[in-house]
Amino acid sequence: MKESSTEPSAELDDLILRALHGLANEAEGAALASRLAASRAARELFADHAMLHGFLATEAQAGGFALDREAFFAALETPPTAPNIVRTRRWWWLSAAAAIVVGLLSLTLLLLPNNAAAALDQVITALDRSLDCSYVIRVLDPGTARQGGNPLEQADRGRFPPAAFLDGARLHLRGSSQYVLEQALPDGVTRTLGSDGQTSWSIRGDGPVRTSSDPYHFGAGVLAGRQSTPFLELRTRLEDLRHFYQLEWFTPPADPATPARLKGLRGSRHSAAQGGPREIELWFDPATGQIHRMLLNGLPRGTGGPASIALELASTAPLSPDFFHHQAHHEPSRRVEAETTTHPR
Amino acid sequence: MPATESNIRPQGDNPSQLEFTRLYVASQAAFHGFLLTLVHDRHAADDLVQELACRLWLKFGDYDRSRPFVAWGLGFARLLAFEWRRLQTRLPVPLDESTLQALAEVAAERSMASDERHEALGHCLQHLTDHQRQVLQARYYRDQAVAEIAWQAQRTEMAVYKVLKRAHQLLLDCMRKSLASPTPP
Repeated sequence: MKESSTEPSAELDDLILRALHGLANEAEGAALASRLAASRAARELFADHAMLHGFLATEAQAGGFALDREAFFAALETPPTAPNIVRTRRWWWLSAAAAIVVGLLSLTLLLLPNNAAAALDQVITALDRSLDCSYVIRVLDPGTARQGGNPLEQADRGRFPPAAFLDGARLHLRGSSQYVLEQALPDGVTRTLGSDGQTSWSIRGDGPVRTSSDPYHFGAGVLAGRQSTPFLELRTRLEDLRHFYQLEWFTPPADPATPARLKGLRGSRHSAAQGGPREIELWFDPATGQIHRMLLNGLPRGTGGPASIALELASTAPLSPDFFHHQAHHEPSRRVEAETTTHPR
Repeated sequence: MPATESNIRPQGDNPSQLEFTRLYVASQAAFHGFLLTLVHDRHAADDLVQELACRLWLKFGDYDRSRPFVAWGLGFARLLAFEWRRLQTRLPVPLDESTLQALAEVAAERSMASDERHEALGHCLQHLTDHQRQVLQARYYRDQAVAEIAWQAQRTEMAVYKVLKRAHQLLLDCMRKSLASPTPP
C-alpha cells in the first residue's frame, strides 16, 4: 500500500463522522475509503473517532449524558413534551414563559406516570440485546381446578401437563427468540423444552428428543392449549403491553438482595377479548432495562394451569453458546424425532 | 452442555465460566470499539460483540493465560468483522482487503489502550454543554437518527450534525490531552 504522509484535516474528520452517523453518501464513502487506504494517519483518526463513537454509546446507556443522573429516570415519568433540544429563536419568549410554568409545576409533573412507553422501549431494547437471563418461575395462584374440560385435549397434554409443574421451573432466555424451560416432574425426571430461535424442541428424561421447525411449537402449549405462552414469547407480550394495556407506574418494594433501585410498570388489559394475561407487572432496573421480576396475573387458563405466576431473575451469567440448541441437553446418540403434535408430554 | 444449576450460577461452582465472564466484561468495550472501527455500524457491532462472546467461550479452553485476554480476543474479533463485511452486499465505506487489514492493526493498538481512553473520556464529559448532552442523549441513548432528532427539534439535519461533530471534536481533543498529561484537563 502506498502511504501518504498527509496530515488529517477537518475535511477528513467530517467524512469520518458522516460515515459513523450514517450520513455519508456513496461518493463520500468512496472518498473516505480512499483516504483510509492512502494514509496511516487517516486510519488512526478513523479508529479514534470510531472508538469514541462506541464509548459514547456505552456512556449513554449508563446515563452519562443525563444532566442529573438522579433525574435521569425520574424524567421517564414526566409527561411527553416537546423534545428538550427544541431551540427556536423566534419563540424564545414563549420558551421562557413555558419554562416558568414548567418550573412551578415540575414537582407535580414528576409524579405523573405518563411516559411509561419510553420505559417500555428501554425494556424491549434490553431484551433485544441477546444477553442471557435466567429466571425462576413461582406459581402465585394455582387457580381453581377446571371441571369438564375438553377430554381429548386433556389427554393430549399427557400425565404431567406442563402448566401443572411450573412452580420452581427455570426459564433461560437469550434475547427475544431463544429460550429453555426446565421443569422437574413428580416422577423424578426433568422435562426440558426450548428453542434456538429456529427450531423448538422438547426432551423428557431419557426419552427421545422431539423437534419442530416452528420455534414456538412446544412453548405454545405450556400454559394453555391454544394460547401462546406469555413468558416465552416475551417480546410479543411486551409489544402487546404497549398496544393493548393501560400502563401505569408503581414503586416496587425495596429488595435488599437487589442493589439496583427497581422501577415498576403495570399494564392492565383493555379488554378480555384481546387475550393474554389480565395484568402484567414489570419490575426493571432503570439503568439497564433488565427485567428483575415479572408478574402475570389472570393468565388465560384454557385447559387449566395457574392463574398467576411470577418470574424472578436468578442470574445474568452467560450461558454456554450452544445452550439453546437441544444438542447441549442430551448425549449425541439420543433419538431425535420431528414432532407434529402441539404439546410437550 | 447439560442444563444444570451450575450453568447459571454466577459464582463458586464453575470457576472457568466465572473467569471468562470477568475477563470478557473487562474487555467488552475494547472489543466493541475494535469491531465498530471495522464495521462502522453500531448495531452490527453490538451483534458482533454477542457473537464474539460465544466464539471466545467455545475456545476458552485454548486460551493461554500468559497472554492478555484482549489481545487473544481481538484475533477472533478481526475474523468476525471480516466475515461480516464479506456477507454485506453494500458497505457505506468499501475497503479493500489490505486497507482493512491495516485499519485492523490500528484499531487493535487503540483497543489495547481502551481502558485509559475510556477513563479519559469520563473526565472529558464534564466539558460538554447541556445542549450537546441533550443531542448526544438523543443520538446514543434513544438511538435516534440525526434526521429524526432534527425533525423533533425543528432544526436542520446539518445543524444537529454540527452539534454532534463539535461534541466529538471536543471530546477527542480532550481525551488526547488527558492521555498526554498525567492530570485531567
